[in-house]
Amino acid sequence: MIFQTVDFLQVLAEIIGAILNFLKPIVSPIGAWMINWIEVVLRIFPKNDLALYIILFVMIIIIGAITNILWPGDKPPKFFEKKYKLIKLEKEPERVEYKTLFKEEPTVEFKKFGEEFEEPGDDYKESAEEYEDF
Amino acid sequence: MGAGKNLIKGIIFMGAYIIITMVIPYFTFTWIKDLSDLGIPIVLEQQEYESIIFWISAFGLLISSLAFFSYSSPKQSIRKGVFALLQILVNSLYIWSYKFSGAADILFQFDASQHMTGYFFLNFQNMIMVYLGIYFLTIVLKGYDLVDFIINREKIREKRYGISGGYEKK
Repeated sequence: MIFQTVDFLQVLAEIIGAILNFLKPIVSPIGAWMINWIEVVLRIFPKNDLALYIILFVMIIIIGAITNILWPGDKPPKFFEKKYKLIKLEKEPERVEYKTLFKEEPTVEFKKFGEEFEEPGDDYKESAEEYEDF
Repeated sequence: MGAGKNLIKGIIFMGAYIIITMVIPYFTFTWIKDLSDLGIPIVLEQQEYESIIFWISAFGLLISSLAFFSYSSPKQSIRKGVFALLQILVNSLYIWSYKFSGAADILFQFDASQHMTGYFFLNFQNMIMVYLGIYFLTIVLKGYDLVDFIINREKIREKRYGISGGYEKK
């Protein structure tokens, strides 16, 4: 046979055979279980009716295209956009650039302080409320 | 990524899956059907051939369309997770349909002369079982991905839209 005369193919076949033999005791029982449920599911699929599969193919593609046109994923969906705006209005403090105040490069300590300050937690809310009361 | 790019990506992967699951197997089995080696004509049974081609076309179409949906969806989206999982499940059916259709036990008949006739068959069933076992691990991974996308939905969205704790990332 042609496959036995080419050395490379023979070596390749032996390597694949060795891998399959090594995996067989672990993977074969799982494969047998897979076959059980697959055989049950395959009974549902109609035989000798390719038209049905073509219709399914076209339908899935049309639905996929419409879904991607409506929700491409690069901007928030409308329901999420509203929520996002509310969060932004509630939480975002007024930002003051360091340079507009001091006209110098910020020190390392100030930068660290700034990073901590940029994460507002409950403390920020409380202090804002206190300020409003005052 | 915009809708146009998503769709192009989906079309490219759909084309790749059509070639892998339909075109290559079709030509392989057609080639095997009339294989002639060392001057001995080896013929694949006609009925088996038709059954194999039917199942390859049917599941190939399903896999390709699901691949389109899956690959055109945004990264880490729930719909991508769902369709990737569905694709793997249909892939399993496709692999097993090889056996179901008779492709795992292929009977070859040769008739060289009056004194030299016979048959042999190739049994791929054990190999397919091992392959399906490996596929199971892929199903588990895709299932894990889907659960991850559902649980971390908010975080993924914040990351995707550049929002962090209510701030817009610069």
